Amino acid sequence: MSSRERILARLRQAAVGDSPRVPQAVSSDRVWPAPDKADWLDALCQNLRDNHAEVLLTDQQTWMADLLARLQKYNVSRLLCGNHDTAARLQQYIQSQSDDIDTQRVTTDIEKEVIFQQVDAGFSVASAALAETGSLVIETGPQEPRTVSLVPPLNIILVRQSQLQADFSAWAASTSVPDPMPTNLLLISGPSKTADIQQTLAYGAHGPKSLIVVMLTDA
Amino acid sequence: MTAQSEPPHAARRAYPSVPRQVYLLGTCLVDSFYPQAGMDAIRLLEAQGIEVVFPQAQTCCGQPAWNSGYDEEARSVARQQLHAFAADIPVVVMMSSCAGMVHKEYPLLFRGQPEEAQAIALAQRTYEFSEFLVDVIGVETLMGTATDAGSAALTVALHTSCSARRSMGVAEQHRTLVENLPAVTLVEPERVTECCGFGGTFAVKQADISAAMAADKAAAVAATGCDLLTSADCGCLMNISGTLSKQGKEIPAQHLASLLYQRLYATEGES
Amino acid sequence: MAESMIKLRDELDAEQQDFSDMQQQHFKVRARMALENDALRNSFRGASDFLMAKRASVFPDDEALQALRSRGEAIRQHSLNHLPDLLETLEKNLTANGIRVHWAETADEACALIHGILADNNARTVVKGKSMVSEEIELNHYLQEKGIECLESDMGEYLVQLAGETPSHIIMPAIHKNKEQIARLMHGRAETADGQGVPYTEDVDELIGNARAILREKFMNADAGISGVNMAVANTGTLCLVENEGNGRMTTTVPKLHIAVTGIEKVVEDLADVPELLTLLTRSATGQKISTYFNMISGPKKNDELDGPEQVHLVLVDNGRSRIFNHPVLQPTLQCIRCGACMNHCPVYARVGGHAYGSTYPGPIGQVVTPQIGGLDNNGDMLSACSLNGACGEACPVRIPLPALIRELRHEANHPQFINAADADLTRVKQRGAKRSLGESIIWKGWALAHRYPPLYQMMSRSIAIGRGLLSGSLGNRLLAPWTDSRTAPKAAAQSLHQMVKKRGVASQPGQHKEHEQ
Repeated sequence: MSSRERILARLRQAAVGDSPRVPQAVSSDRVWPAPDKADWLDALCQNLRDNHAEVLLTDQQTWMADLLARLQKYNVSRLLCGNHDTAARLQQYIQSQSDDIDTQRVTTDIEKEVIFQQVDAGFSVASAALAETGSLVIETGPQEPRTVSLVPPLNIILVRQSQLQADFSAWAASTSVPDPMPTNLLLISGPSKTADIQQTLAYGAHGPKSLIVVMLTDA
Repeated sequence: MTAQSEPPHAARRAYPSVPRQVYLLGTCLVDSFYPQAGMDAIRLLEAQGIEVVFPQAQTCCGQPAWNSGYDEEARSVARQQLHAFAADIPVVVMMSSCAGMVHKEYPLLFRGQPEEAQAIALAQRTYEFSEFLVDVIGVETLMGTATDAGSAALTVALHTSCSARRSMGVAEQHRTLVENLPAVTLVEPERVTECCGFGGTFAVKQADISAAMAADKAAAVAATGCDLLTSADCGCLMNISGTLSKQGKEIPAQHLASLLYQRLYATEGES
Repeated sequence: MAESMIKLRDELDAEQQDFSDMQQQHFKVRARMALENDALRNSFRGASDFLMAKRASVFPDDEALQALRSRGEAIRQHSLNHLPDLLETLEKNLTANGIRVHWAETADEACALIHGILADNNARTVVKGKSMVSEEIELNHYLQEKGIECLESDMGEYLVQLAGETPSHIIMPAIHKNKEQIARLMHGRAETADGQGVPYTEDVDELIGNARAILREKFMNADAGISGVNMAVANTGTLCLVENEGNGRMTTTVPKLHIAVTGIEKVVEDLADVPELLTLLTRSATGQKISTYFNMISGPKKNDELDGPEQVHLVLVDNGRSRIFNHPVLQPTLQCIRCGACMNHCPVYARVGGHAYGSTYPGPIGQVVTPQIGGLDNNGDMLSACSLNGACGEACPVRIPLPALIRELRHEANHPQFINAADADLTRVKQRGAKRSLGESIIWKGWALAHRYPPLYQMMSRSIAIGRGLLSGSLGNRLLAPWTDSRTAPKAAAQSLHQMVKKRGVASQPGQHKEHEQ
């Protein structure tokens, strides 16, 4: 018998039936309160800000200009984007407006040295946002590489207000859940942080030191 | 058989109307070290028109052995209490930890044993002292029977034992009783929910850790500036006041029953 | 090298030696050493107070908390009730997703499996995300002996590894160190890629910045990443990791090879089970509504993807868990989601800290898990370090009845019937009866005898009163010293309650009339 078979055999031999531990049915009834729909945006923004993220409330007309101003404030000279249409438009816009920011879209395998050592900021697009925890859902894939939201010191995530949901439970029960699951699905709720030294918060532990959320309130 | 998790929070037990007669389970610590508290409890209950039955055959609930993992020994002693408290009347227990033993642990201790049904029945009619006063008699009724409500001002630090708080869930009852005493100011020590370090044989088997916990609790009690320390668990009282007194800080300590009786009724000359 | 640096390094070496020496001591000696160490006591007290307050702040509504805990318990029990089936489903779906699944019965087998995967891929350098199971199986030690560099990347784990110590908390591994101690450690031992050390600083941002720089270099160049798993979702074939720092994502994203290692109990059935367990976990652990990252891995990099590991493996570790699963009382041990709330709320842990337990898992859950995995002979002593105050059980997000489990383990440890570790009866704890002592069992037999017969009991309690000042006959003279070292001995009353009651004429039986009213 293999280890696998022996482990499973031991688990299967466990007595069942004489246990008073009849589990309460796992039901879909909500037991933890979620914010009302009217409060979703406020809750999301508040939670993100509590977690040291910056939220840009903007719209489809002006978000690129608003973001560019932020990038300039952060002295970003090299911005890395995923391979989706939104990134293409952003790249075009930045190229038309600024000579100081080199915007690259990832189209081939990412060179580790480049992303670790040369890129200042990464631009990602979320597929949903969760109000109760202030979380952005990122489905990685060919359009949305995993490292873009992880390695550069500044992480920018775009999300649309129509993509807001109450919380993770609501998301998990909704049709938003991709099937099949992407190889890597992420909830991001702030910049990287640690409190491992004497419970003192420090940002930028291993991942981004800063997170800017671009919220399109008319989309 | 699997260890039970705590019951859902909302599941409060149902209480009977005030009975004519109750058993008093004095507990072995009250018996030897705080017998006056037992007498005070009896008088307090009698003042409510309840007849108190104190079985001379009672000894100890069996908790020390049970907590130490000596199940057979615990069971043999607990069996004696099943006999001593056999009649179908409520049992009022002087200490929260012993109440928890009978109310919560007896059904586990006797699971699969011939006395299982008897143990469950006893558990169901067993009440912690303050629980009985608040939930069966009622605070207003109790205070209404007071004959000596005009006592001098007193600041009382309440130590609610872990069994009162977590096993029996009667922390609120303890507070209510003390708060409602005339001219009494209730103070709670810092980190009020933390264990005082008694824990029965724990105090002996892990004496260093227990002493460290007791020292912190004693300091927190002393810092309240109270006139008196009270609790419904004599193990905690002995632990905290013994530590205070070793440090030369003498703060009088009383079982809750004695505090209640003395603040609600004249006690001069009575024994 | 500057003389001051030589001195600092000697001091750090001496501290590391002290740590190893301490770990060789008996539980009581370790506990006493911890109690006498003021810096350590301050670290743990401060951390416990901080974490308890943080947790309380995210559970403002007690009713909602209790409902959520009940749900968490139900989800975990449901998972355990279907454990073998869920593990097979998990394996099937992970395999379909391209994640290779391995099964290990023992710690050694798990280490050998992981080493085998690394060797097959010529991996020489490994970065590790936080994994308590890898600590449990002592993976670092195993791989180091095989010549593989295995670097911890969680900040706390990194500092602990740098110090040559072990974690003292399952969530905050370096909780026992203050920032001055960490400043000395980083200055004395941290090595940057250019071979230079880092300057001395007590500034937390700078300390973290220095570690970040060192570890990013390692992430970039590592051949493999090894991580733990917080939950494995059977229906979707997904591995979930909860973290704040990003090292977990680095470990599972940047190197070409990712090996996840987890206990067999971590499986849940469906994605719908995840949100409530996640919120219970982060709120209970650190008082966060959610962690910065929740990382759900359902496969290696696909052909059209631009980054991610080329291979993902999952090593499912039994290491005694199937025995726990078979125990009629102790099975809820496996409900644990490793949040650490039980230790944060434990007044004993707050006094002695994690290292006193001498085990991978400290605190209440450690007292329950360790003797079951490692046997009662070597690990039974820590069971007495519990006052059964119940704070752990009250804090547990999945309602594990920890005090009841500790009590049950005391019963197993003191059981009259000894069984050895190899015993085939899985319903018993390994080395049952190993802690039974003749002296103690005689004391309890005598105690039971005295309390079984009321006349004997009353005689005894009267003799206490006569010899006033004795602690209690039931505990015995030899037990007095531990009490009276720090407390005055309680004085027995001149008359017992039994006597006073009798004198007052209180009825001894219902229906019995008062005989002599006073």
